[in-house]
Amino acid sequence: MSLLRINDLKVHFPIRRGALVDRTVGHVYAVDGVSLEIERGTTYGLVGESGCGKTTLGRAVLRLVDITSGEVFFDGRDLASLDGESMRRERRNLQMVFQDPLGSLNPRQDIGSLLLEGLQTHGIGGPAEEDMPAGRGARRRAVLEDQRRRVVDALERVGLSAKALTRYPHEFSGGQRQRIGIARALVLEPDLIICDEPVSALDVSIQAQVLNLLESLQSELGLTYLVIAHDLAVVRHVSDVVGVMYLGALVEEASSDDLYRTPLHPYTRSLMSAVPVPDPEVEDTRERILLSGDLPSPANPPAGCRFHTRCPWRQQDRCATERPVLREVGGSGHRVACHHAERILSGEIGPRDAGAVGAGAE
Amino acid sequence: MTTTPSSQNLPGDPGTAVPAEAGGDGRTPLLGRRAAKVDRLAELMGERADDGHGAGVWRTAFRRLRRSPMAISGAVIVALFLLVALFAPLIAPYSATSQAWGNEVFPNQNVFVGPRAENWLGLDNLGRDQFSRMVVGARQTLLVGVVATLVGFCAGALLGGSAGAAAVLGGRRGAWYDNAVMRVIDMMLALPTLLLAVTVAALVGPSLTTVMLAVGIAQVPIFARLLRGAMISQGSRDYVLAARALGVRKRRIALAHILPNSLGPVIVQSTLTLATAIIDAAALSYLGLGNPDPSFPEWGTMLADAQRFLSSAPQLAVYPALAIIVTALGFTLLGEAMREALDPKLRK
Amino acid sequence: MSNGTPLLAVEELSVVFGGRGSDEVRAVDGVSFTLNEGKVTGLVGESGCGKSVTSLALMGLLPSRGVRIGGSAVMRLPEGETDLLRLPARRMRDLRGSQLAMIFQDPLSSLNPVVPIGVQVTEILRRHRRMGGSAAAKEAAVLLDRVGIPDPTRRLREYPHQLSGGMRQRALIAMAVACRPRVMIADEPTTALDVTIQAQILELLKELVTEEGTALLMITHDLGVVAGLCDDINVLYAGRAVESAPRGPLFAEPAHPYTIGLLGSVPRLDAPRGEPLTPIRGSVNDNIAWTDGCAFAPRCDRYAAECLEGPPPLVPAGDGHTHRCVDPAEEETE
Repeated sequence: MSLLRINDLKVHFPIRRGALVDRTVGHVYAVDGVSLEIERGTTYGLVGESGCGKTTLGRAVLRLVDITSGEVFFDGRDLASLDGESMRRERRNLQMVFQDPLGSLNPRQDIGSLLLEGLQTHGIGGPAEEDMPAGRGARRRAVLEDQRRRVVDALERVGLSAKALTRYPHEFSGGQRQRIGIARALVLEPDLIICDEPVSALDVSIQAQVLNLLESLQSELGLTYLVIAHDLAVVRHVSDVVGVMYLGALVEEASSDDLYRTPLHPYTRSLMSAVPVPDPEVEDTRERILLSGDLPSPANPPAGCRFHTRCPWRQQDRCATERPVLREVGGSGHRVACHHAERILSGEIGPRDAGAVGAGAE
Repeated sequence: MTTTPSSQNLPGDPGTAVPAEAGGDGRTPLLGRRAAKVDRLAELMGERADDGHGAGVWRTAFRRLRRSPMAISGAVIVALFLLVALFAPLIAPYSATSQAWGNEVFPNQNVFVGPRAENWLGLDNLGRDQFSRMVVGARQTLLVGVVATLVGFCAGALLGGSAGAAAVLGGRRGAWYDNAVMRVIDMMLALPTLLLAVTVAALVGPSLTTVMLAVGIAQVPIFARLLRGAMISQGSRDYVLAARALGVRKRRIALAHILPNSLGPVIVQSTLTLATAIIDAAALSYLGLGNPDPSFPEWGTMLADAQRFLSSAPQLAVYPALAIIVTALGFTLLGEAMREALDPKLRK
Repeated sequence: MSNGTPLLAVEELSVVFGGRGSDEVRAVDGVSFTLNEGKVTGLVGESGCGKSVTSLALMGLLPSRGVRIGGSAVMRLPEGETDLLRLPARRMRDLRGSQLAMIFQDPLSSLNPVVPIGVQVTEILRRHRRMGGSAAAKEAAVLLDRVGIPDPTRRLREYPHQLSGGMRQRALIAMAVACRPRVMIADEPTTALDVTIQAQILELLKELVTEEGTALLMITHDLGVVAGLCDDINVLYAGRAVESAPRGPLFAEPAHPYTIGLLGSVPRLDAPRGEPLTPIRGSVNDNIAWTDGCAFAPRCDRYAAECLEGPPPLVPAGDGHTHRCVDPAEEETE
């Protein structure tokens, strides 16, 4: 059984107007019907451009934003139906690593109290019941002792020493701060860690350190990751399965290598051709599919296939009228939401000149 | 969180710009500048904390303060005032209430005693030592200023803090509570401070407590608005989200995470409020709403009393008036310098 | 296309901040490179390497107080050669926008939010090209069309916030090319944009450079962008160029350990899944002063005692390839 199963998840943010009484004048369809499964011990990478709803999806799993409808099964329990307090307790099993390592650490908390906070909130730690000393004071000390040990252990796992405990976030470099953020998640011994753009705020040379750290933690502790990022190269590097999001919906899902070898969805293809590769020879020779125009507003998504306004492969039939569902194409779990995936793959339909689409997209 | 997609990963489509910050801020011209100034401070402190130098902001601000002549002169005035007020009984050479030289002053015959060796500032209309009265009056002024500011701070922080916490963490009901509180605050803000204070004083009757209460209540909306703004700005930071993701209880998030990071602008405002409170208190005393005991010195009352002899003994009015102005100036200079030190955009 | 002499020759540029009590910071320390007609020169490095300061120094946009600028930046103008670093402020202002243009990272904050795009574009045309009102408006529409903004006449009336990020950057590029500058400086022009939009903008820049013969200085942290766009590349570390080469040799045979480290740190889209990354140790702050030795030594895997015997000199390695390492990598086998 998969560790996390998301079923037709929708998160719509109401747009409110009005001075005294708020009226709802519309919705931002941030996540609009996403279903996916993550197997225990694997990494699921979610990639997409800003505004595609990937961050909202990650937050919705943790119920940090209100879920409009759908189910989120974690280890067999539906998180979407839990009440506030049960969800709060459940969060020790699902943790999050944030994009901005500095912003996600309280500037007034030293590292020790930052890392202890989770343990104390959930009452984790302390010797086994039979080893528990008598007396409240001794008991408290024993628990704190054990929590401290766990904190130091987590710090060492991410490559920092116990000396960091009494220092404050601003005294560390960007990479170290992100390690602290990872340690904060790690200390609760969660099953699933949601990494929201874990490296995009870091310097290039530091990114690799953090990515390697995430990988080694996974193999040591058997963690499951949901990695959310805009950088396809990063996502592909760390993930077993990659899901591509566009305007609130999953347009393609495949194993990392499969996706790179045979991208089926036109959006995936253009995304892939747009990612720069640090190799002049590759850069000079590969084909580029330039998309015209911009992302439509998620408050007013286009009818039919959401990508049809920018799609170089757009056809007259169905694209503008019928919303394609995610379906398996070509076996091995490769799923794609495109009416014409097979015909595009076989080369029956070719891309139109991107420049010609320019005016139509606006 | 629930009503604002602005914290989400969405493009800045103007059509979706939802009342995140407009969610209850009076944009009424009536409140205009004062509200804008208060909000700017709140927003700024939010920005500063974003740099992540929790302690660093204050440290660099302090370093900047030490170089600012405005801050230094403000600090000197405030320090002098505090010293005089605290050690008033030791400094005052004579009793402030005894009419020891009563036989030398005849107000109805326009006979007053000006500065001389034994009475540095001369005698007042009842033959009391003016210098001693000024010194003891400083103590009263400080008491009124501090208590009034404390009243405003506590009540304002409670209202604004609860509204801010409710807005950030309370969901729909929280947003409703926040809205309700802020409408009341906006109404209070729309009333001129002095009018509000006079109303309170008129309701409770004249006494020193009345003055402190009245001036304090008049400051409530400013503190409330400031703290709420700062808390909402802090509430959208990632570390609050991180705390929620960690499973920390909402009460603890509000009290241990958001509140400490939001207090900066409120503390700065306290300094500025002290100046306003001193002037307001003097004004209320002047209007006869202060301490009914005329023998007890208070700068506002002294000013009111001196009015009758303005033509024959103007110095009696000048001393308390100068004292009020200089003290208020001191606090204002210090407060403004602090605000400037914390505000990168005002800096030259 | 190029006739040999560079359009802009930067020699030993150095920028020192501070002094007067506080510590001096050498943000840029003896950087030299040239910009040629129709060519793109890249400055690559991480935060704090001095790449942005370099561009501001060339544009004359650094504050005059508390900053010392050394070296020279000779630009070839129709009326003769001029050293940009020694130009009076007035002349520099005339030059900016006409012969010398800059594109910034954040298009929103570089546009005036309360003035329509059209006014901002025509203002430049009227000021530098002395055009009349209607001619300028017509030219502005042509410019927006040139940079791929659909429906330019409508867009001209809109305010910056009404445009998407990509459109704003295009508008900014339109303003930069309005007076057909000889030299353009782009400081992380695509960092704030999505990948698909980035591809559009890079394509546009490439087009402008080849068609107009402009010389472009591309400043970025993204090696992928550099590989696709730049002809000559300078890798900066702690204010100095540690390696300079045409793009072919740089990516095929990187010599400096820092360059090699950078290349090993980025996951490549075309690498098979699971291929390990080889990060650089420590962080950008872990460096020593160049005067004491190689600033990169504390993070370098091949660090040896000789690395600390004074500043490493710039060593030529053939084909316009130079580096600053006493023990460079031999023919890296990929």
